[in-house]
Amino acid sequence: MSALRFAWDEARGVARLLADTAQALLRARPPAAVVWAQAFDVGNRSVFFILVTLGFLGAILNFQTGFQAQRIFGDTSLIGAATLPILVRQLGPTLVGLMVAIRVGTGIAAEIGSMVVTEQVDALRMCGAGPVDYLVKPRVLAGLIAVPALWVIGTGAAWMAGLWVTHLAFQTNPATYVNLDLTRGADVAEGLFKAVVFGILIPVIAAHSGLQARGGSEGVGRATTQAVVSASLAVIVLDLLIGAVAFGLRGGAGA
Amino acid sequence: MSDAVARLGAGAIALAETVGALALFTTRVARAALRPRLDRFETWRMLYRVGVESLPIVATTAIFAGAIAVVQTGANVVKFRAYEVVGWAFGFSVFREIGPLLVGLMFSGRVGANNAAQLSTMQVTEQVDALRALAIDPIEYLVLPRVLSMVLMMTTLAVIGNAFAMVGGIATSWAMLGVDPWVFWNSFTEYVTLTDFANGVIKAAAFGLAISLVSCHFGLAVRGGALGVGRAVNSSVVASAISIFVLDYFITWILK
Amino acid sequence: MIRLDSVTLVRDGIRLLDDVSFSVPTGQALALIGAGGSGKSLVLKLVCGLIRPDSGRVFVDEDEVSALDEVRLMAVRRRIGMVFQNYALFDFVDVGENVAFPLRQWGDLSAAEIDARVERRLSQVNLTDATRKLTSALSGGMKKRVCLARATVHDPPIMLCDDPTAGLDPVTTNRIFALLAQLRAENTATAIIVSHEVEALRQACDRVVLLERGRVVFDGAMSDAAQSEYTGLRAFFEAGVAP
Repeated sequence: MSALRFAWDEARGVARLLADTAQALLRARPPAAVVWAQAFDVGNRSVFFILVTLGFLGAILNFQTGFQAQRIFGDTSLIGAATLPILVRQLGPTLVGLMVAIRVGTGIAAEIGSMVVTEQVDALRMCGAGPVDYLVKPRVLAGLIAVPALWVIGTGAAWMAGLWVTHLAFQTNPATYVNLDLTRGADVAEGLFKAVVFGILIPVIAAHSGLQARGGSEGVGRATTQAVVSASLAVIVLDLLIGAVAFGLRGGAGA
Repeated sequence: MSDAVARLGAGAIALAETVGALALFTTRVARAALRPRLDRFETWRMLYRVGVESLPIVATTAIFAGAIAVVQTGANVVKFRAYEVVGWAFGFSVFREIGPLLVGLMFSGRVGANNAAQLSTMQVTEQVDALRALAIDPIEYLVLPRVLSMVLMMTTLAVIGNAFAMVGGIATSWAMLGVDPWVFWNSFTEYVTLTDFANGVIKAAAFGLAISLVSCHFGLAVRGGALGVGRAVNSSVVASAISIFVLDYFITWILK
Repeated sequence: MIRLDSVTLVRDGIRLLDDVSFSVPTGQALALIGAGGSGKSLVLKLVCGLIRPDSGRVFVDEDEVSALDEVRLMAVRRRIGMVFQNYALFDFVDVGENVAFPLRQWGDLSAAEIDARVERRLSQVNLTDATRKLTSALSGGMKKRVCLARATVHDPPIMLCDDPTAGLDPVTTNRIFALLAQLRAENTATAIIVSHEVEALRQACDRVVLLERGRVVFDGAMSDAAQSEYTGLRAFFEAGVAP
C-alpha cells in the first residue's frame, strides 16, 4: 500500500536527519543565545495555546470522571487523586505533544519550507551555513528545553481546571481534590521522558518536512501538512510504546 | 511593565479580531447554505478525496488510541480485579471522549491543514479573484462543498475510528491483561449505550464543522507568499485544536 | 578556471543537461544563454556544488566539485560569489546583516573589519541608506543590488550570476551590469553570467555558450558568435531575445 511506503520513507528520512543533527551537535554546540531565543520563542508562542487546550482537557476529564463517580459511588472525593496520575504520565504529555506538533511543528515546517522554496537555504549553503547546523540544530535543542517546560505548565493547567470544575459541578472540596497519594515518581518519570522525546522528535520531523518542500507556495503548504500529520502520528505511536514499556517496568499485569 | 501590558492588550485585540472574522465568515457560509447551489461533482470529488486521504491516518490513530487507553488503565484494572468492566470502561471512554477527540485532532491535521494549504495557495495565485471575476461566489463554489464533505466525513470517520479503536483495545487487553475478547465484548455490549455512541457522533459532527469553517477561513484570509501559506496552515490547525477542545467541553456539559 | 566535463543531469526521466562540456579560462567572463528551461540555472548550481550531476565532472580550479562532500565544498564556496535568480535574500535579517552574513559565518574577520567591508560594498551599490531595512521593503532593483553586494563582500575570484536583471527596467538593467563589471574588475574574477540581455552580454563577456534543451550548441568567443552561421545564435543576437 502506498500509504505504508510513504510512512516508511518518511521514517527513514527523519531517522537520517536525527542522526545528522546528533552528529552536528557532537561537532559543535550552537551559540547558547540562539538556542534560548528559539526555546523562548517556542514556549512563548505555545503557552497560551497549551493553557487553553489543556485547561479544557482537565475540565472535561474531571467532569466526566466526576459524573460517573457520582452516579456510581455517590462520592467525588477521590477524583483529584485518581485523575492526577493519568494526567501526569499520559494525557498531559500526549496532549502537550499533540499541541506542540500542531503549533510548533507547522511553524518550523513553514519557516524552513519557505526558506527552501525561496532558495534562501541554497544561499545559506553558499555562505557556509549548512541547514542542519544552522536551522535544525538550535531548534532541536530548543524543543528539548521548551517541551518539558510546557508539559509542566500544561499538566498544571489541566489539574487546576479540574479543581475548579469539580468544585463548581459537584461541590467537591478543593482540599480533597489536591491529593498526591496516587501519583508516584514513576508517573512523573514516564511523563517527563515522553515530553523529552517529543521535544526532540517534533522539531526533527517538522524540519525534515520543511527541507523537503518543493515548488513555491504549494510546496510550503504540502510541507506544513505533512509535518503536522507525521508529528502527530509519531506522538501517538511513541506514546503507546513508552507507555507499554513503562507498564511492563512497573511490573506489568502484576503491578 | 507597561510594555508587557501593552503586548497583552494587543494580543487580546488580535484574538478578538480573529474570533470576529471567524464569526462573520460563518454567517456568510450559513447564508450561502440556505440557498445551496452546490456543485455536485465538486462535492462528490471532495467527499472521496477527504475520505480516502484520511482513512489510513484515522485507522492507525484509532488502533493506537484504543491500545493506549487499555495500557493506561491496565494497572487499575488489575489492582481492582475489574476485568469484566474493561469492555464497558473502554467503550464508554473511547466512544464519548478519546475517539472523537483524537480523530478530530488527526482530521484537523490531515484534512484541515491540507484544505487551508490549498485554499491559501489558490488565493495567493489569484485564482480566487479569477473566480470572482467570472461572477462565481467562492463561498458557494469552494467553501460549501468542503464544509459539507468535511462534516459528513468527520462523522463517518469517527464511527469507523471507533471500530478500529475497539480492535486495538481488544487486542491489547488480551495481550497485556489477559482479558478474553469474549469477556471484553460482553461487558461492552452489556453496558455501553446508544447514548454514549450518539454523544461521540454529535461531537464528531461539531468538530468537523469547526475544522472546515476554520480551515476555509484562514485559507482564504491569507496574506503574503509562500510564508503566508505556511502561516495560514499554522493558524488553521491551532484554531481548530482550540475549537475542538472548547466544543468538547461544552457538548460534554450540555449533553449530561 | 571553471570546467564542465560531459555533465548529464536527469530528473523524472528527462535529460535536463545532456553531455555538457565547456570551460571558462581564469579571469574571463562567459555568457550562458538559451531559452527558458534549457538548463542554465542548473549549470550554475552544479558549479558551486548545490546539486550533483548524474554523470560527468565539474571542476573549479583544481577541485573536483562534483565529487566533494558538503564539508569540503564549504571551502570551495568561499571562493565563489553567487547571485541567485530570485534574490534568495534572508528575510529574517536586515540588509546590512544580509551582506555581512557570509563574513560572520566564516569568522575570519573581526566585527569592525566586517562592518567596514559591508559599508564599502553597500556604498558601491548605492544602498547605504537601506542598511537597516528589511528585505521585504525593497524594490526589485534594490534587492538585486543587495544580492550583488552579498555575493562580492568576500572578494571572490569567481562570480556566478543567474539572470541578474530579470524583471528590471532598462535603466536599472544597465546600472546592474555596470556594477557587475566594476565588481568583477576588482578581482579580475572568472564569471559565468546567465542572461537574456544581448547588448549587455556582448559588452561584458569574452565567451558565449548557447544551451538548447540541455545541450551545448555553441561554444566560442563572443566576437565569433556575432558572425556565427548557426541560426539559433543568429536569431538570439538579431532579435535581441533568447530563441
